[in-house]
Amino acid sequence: MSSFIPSAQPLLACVLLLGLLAGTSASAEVSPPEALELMLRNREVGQVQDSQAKTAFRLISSNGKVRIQEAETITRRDSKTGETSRLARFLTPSDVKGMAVLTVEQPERDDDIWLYLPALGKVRRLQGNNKREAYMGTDLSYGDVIGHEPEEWTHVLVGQEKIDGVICWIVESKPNSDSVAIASGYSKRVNWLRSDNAVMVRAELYDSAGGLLKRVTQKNIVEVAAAPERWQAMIIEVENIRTHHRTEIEISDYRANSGLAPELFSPRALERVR
Amino acid sequence: MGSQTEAAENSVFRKLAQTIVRHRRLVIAFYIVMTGVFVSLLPALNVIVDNEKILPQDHPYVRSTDAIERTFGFKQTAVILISASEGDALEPWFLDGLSRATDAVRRLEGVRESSVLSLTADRAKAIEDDGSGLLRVRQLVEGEDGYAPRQTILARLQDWPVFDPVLISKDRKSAAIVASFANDPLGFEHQVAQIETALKSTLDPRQTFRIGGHPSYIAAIEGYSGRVGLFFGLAVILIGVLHYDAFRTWQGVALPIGTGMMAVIWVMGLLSILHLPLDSFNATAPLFIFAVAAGHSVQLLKRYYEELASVSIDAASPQAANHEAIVRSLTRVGPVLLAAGLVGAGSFLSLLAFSVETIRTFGVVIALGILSAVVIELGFMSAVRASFLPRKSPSATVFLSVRNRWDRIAAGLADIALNHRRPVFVMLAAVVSISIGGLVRLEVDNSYLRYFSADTPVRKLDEEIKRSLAGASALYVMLDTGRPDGVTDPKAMAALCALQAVLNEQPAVNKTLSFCDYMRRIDSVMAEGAHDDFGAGVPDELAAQYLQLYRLSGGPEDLDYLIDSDAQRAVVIAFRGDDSSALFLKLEQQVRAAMLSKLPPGASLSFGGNVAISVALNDTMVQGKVVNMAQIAAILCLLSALLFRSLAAGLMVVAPLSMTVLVVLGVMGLFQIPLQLVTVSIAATAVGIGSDYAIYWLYRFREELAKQRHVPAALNATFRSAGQAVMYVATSVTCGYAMLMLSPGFHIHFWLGLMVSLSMAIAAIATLTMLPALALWLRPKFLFGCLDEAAPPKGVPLEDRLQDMKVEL
Repeated sequence: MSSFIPSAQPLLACVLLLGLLAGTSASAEVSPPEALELMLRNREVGQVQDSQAKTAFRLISSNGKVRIQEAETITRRDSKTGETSRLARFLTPSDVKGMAVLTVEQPERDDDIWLYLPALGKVRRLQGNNKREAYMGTDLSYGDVIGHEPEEWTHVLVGQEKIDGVICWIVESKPNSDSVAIASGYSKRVNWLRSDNAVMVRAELYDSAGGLLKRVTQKNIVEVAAAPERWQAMIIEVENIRTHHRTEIEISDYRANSGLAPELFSPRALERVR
Repeated sequence: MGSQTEAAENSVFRKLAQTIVRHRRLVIAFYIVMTGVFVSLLPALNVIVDNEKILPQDHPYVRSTDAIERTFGFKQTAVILISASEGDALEPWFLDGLSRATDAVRRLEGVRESSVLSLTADRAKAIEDDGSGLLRVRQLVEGEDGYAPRQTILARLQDWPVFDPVLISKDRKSAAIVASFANDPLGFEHQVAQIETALKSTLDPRQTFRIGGHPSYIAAIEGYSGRVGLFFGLAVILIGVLHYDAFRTWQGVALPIGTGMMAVIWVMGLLSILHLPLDSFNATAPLFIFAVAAGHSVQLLKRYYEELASVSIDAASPQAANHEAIVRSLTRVGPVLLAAGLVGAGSFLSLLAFSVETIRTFGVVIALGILSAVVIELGFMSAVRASFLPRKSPSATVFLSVRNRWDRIAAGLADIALNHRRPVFVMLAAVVSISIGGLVRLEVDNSYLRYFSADTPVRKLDEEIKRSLAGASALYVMLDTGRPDGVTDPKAMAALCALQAVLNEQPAVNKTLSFCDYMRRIDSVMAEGAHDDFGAGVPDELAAQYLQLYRLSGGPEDLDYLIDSDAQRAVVIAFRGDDSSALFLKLEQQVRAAMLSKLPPGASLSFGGNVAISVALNDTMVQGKVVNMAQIAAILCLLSALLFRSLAAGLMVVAPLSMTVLVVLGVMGLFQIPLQLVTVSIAATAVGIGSDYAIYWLYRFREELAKQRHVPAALNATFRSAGQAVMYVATSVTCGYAMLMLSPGFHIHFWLGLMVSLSMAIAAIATLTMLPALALWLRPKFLFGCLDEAAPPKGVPLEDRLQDMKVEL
């Protein structure tokens, strides 16, 4: 697994190099790939140059109360650095309409985050978050969204399982070092990756004590770009096992690689977004 | 009751007595089997540990506490104080242990996840400002790689002291885990034991812990309550010793105690059969049943010895004398025993009309207890008595020749009734006046903490928590705006901030926590605190956008302990050092008054938490039991009036009981014993604890008047028989139950011992002074009617009658 959400950087999660799987997809008899290779492919198939979409967040509390918020999201990946900028502008609820958050990934240091509050008419800078913290108030962590670097984890292919008629590889990933474990907040991740496109369809994330912390499901996986093929799940569901809080994310009007201008991702642009 | 009816009754009871004596072994076997059956049913008895199950669910505080629990998860809040034996609470090893313990507590059964707070909990976040308007929300103790340095954490606490001293002590040597628990069906001791197990397995050896707050107080009450068995055992021994002193026979010791014990077993078995639960407020019922059963038993025993003394002179054999004494005593006392039992049971059964289940159960328990005692006394004890020859007849020493101290007291009381009624009434007036003086001082207040003396570990821990933290008692005040996103409306935000300010002004409140704290802090970073009060002029969407900002920066449920997910309701948590229900009510009144003009339209406040539940319990019990006392007195009056065919008799039976209740409540007021859950339950038994005394006395006095047709002689005989029985049982039970006052540290046992003893003593004194004085003053027809029907008996010489007028002391 790498990332889950399009509005977040490498938009979605998971993919495989289709070439490796060509002609062998959905076959239980195919030779299993190397686990690391599978995870690298997974990261790659989720990376687009830029994207724009409407995203609806359904936040469901443990007592069943539902809070819905909708946002327009745009992302752009810097072709030189590979870092991604993301901008989310809220459409609903009405009292936060116009609020906008711009996140610019920075190599070797905390990300830059700017926030525009219409009620104050001001853009303010926020301190960058660490990977463990929640992303946009959802049950996903910031690390889940930007993606966990496959090279920092040790991956083992532990089995396969058919999900919705498609064979999926089951990859168990453990952090290579304590610092990776602390930074991610996970002691183990288990991903179910489709054998035909390496997109993650299910994941289980374990906390530092080894207990199951979250369960992630991705549905309605759509090919959003060709040559190279890129895939995006339009429905992402996350359940926090400990708090019983759930997040359902529904993506619509998704467009990839439409050539978004870099100026759209500047603090000044936040106010214009209004 | 006419003489013909009496004769018929006597005939029935004579036949019954003869049958019991004839088939004594069969009767004994039957009762033993019955008792065995009831003992076997004891494990099936449904004992309710959770007091809240007895609460009427429509009580305002029950509803508000339920609403707060449903929305925010707060109810029974425990404050776990974890201390460092070396260093302080900000060192990494300490925070590691605290983190493990917090996780372990969070995973405990019954814990409200959203309520768990500690320095290492995810939702304990600091809102940092680097001085240039850069805002960062991060976990309070988090550093770049592991825990933040000590100075950084201290700086964060100083910058935004919302968790100080809630989660960390003022001296930084201790930290706290605050967690709210659902009620454990296995009781609070079980709940606290679970917490202890979780902490022991997770904390560092250099950490010590103590558990404070409501669950631990109730667990301690459960623990201390276990002592009642020991002190009750001592009470029974003392009762036995005093009965021996009175009767000088082992039968005098064993039979009243046996009747009491068997009656308690029967009642518990019957409750199992009837599927009725025994809750903690009915836990005093066995003590009451024991006392009443012993009272009936002593009356019959006393009469038995009187009859034994009179028949043994002419009897052919000791066994024949014994059997004849049993038959005669049952024939004479059986009807009054049955009548007194039915009157008492009927009075308590009238409580079935109550809507509060615990009071209905109380009525059934006591009624069954009284009836069981009557059935056991009439059958089993008579059969046992018939199976053994009295080793030594007490007649020679007690009843015929030697005047012992009990006789002297009886004679003195008769003299008072005959010759000193005015002083009796003056004394009564004085006692009534003093009692009323105490009654007006009586305070309705429940504080679980004050169940314990100041030197107990519970109170010491509470004092330490008060010294080092904000207190172990949490009060929750919820603002409900009535619509989603209502809380972030400027008027509601202003009201919430004002509510927190009002609560902070209360002397009983040490610290408050609210959503307003977060909003102010964010405003101080984002807008230099320009909108500190969220009052007039604040942009409509400001709070909503601040809330969104926080939610974007923190976890999705970080603020769910202070504002619900759709922002309709917010809660202010107020930490207090006191769990007094009276102070809570006063505080609520003041807060509501202060907030009257500040609440936006459609918004409401509700108060919840364990103290609110305590108030609901107190309300229910105090109101219910006060009505319960009045109802029992009224029914007792009615049934006694029917029994004696006289309204005056009904009033005369109730008079000593009313005096008992008045004095008990007056003494409580004078000695500042609050009227609360437990004391009101004990006080409620005062109304019935001596009802049989008056009935026995009036029955015997009427019997003696009809027989002797001579007031002084009848009075003297009544005092030496029924009167002495009252003295025996009142003395023994009063002294016996006073043993409970020796229970160290636990005021409940002290109050229980004091009030039951006082009730017995006052009921006996009132029966033996006020009742005769009233009888001789009013000369009601149901007593003195027989004197008008015929001339004085010729058998009593004038000299003797005159001599009897001057009773020996």
